[in-house]
Amino acid sequence: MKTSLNDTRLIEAHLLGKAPAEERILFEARLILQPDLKQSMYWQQKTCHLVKLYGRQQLKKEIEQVHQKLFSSATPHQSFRQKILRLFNR
Amino acid sequence: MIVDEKQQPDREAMFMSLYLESFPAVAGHISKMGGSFEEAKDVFQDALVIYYEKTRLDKLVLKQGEMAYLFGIARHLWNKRYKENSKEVSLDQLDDSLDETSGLADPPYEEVSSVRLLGLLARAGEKCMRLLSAFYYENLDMETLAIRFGFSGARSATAQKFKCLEKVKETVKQRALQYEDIIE
Repeated sequence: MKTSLNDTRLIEAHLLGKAPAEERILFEARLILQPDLKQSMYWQQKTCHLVKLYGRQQLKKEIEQVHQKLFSSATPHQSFRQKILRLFNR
Repeated sequence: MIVDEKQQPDREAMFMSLYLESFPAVAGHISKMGGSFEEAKDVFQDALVIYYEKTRLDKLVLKQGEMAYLFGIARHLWNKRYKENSKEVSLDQLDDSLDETSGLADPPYEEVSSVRLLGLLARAGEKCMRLLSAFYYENLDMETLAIRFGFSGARSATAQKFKCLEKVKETVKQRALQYEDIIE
C-alpha cells in the first residue's frame, strides 16, 4: 500500500507536469520497465477523468436547483418567471 | 477523517444572478426561433457550465461581459442541436469546435460504463469524490480545500486527497474490469 501510494504521487506529478526534469526521466524509464506502473497510470488517468465528470454532474445539479427555485410557483421572482413563461405561451 | 464540507452559497448566488440577468435574452431568442422552454433551459444550463469551466477553471477573461458570452454560447448550442435539419443552415456553417472543446458532447462509448461507474462511485465514496472533484474539477488550491473540508492545513488535506485518490482508483480499476467482462 505504501509503495502504491508513493507511485500515486509520482504519477500525479507526472500527469500534472509538475515533476522536475530528473524525476521525469527516471519515471519514464520505469514506465517502460514496469508494465504495472504503466497500468497504474492508466487507471489514475481514468479516475481523474471520472472525478471531473462527477464535478460537472454536481455543478449541473446545482444549476438545476437554481432553475427550480426560480420557476417554482412559490418563487419570490414572480415577475421574472412570468416574463419568461409568457415568451413560450403564444 | 473528512468532516462535512462547508456549503458554497457563493456559487449558488452566482448562478442565480447569471440566470436573472442573462436567461431572459436567451429565452427570448430561442422562443423567436421557434424553440421550446425546455430547449431554452437546456442550452442555457449547458452555457452556464461552459461559462463556469472557461472562466473559473481555464481562467478565461471575458472581453464583452458575461451576458454577451452566455448568449453567444447558448445561441451556438441551439443552432447546433436543434437547427441541424433546417434548410437555411448548410453543414459547412456549423462549427463543431465549441462542443468538442467544452467536452459537453459526450462520446457515446463513454456513456455506458462511465455513467454506471459514476453512479457507483457517488454512492460508495461520496466524501472522497467531493474532495477529489474540489481539486481536479474546481482546481482549488490545498489551503482553500483544507478550509472547506475542515482539515488542519494544506499538508493534511494533501495526505487525505491522495488516500482518496488511491481508494477511488482501486474501485475504478476493479469495477471497470468487471464491467468489461459483462460487456464482452
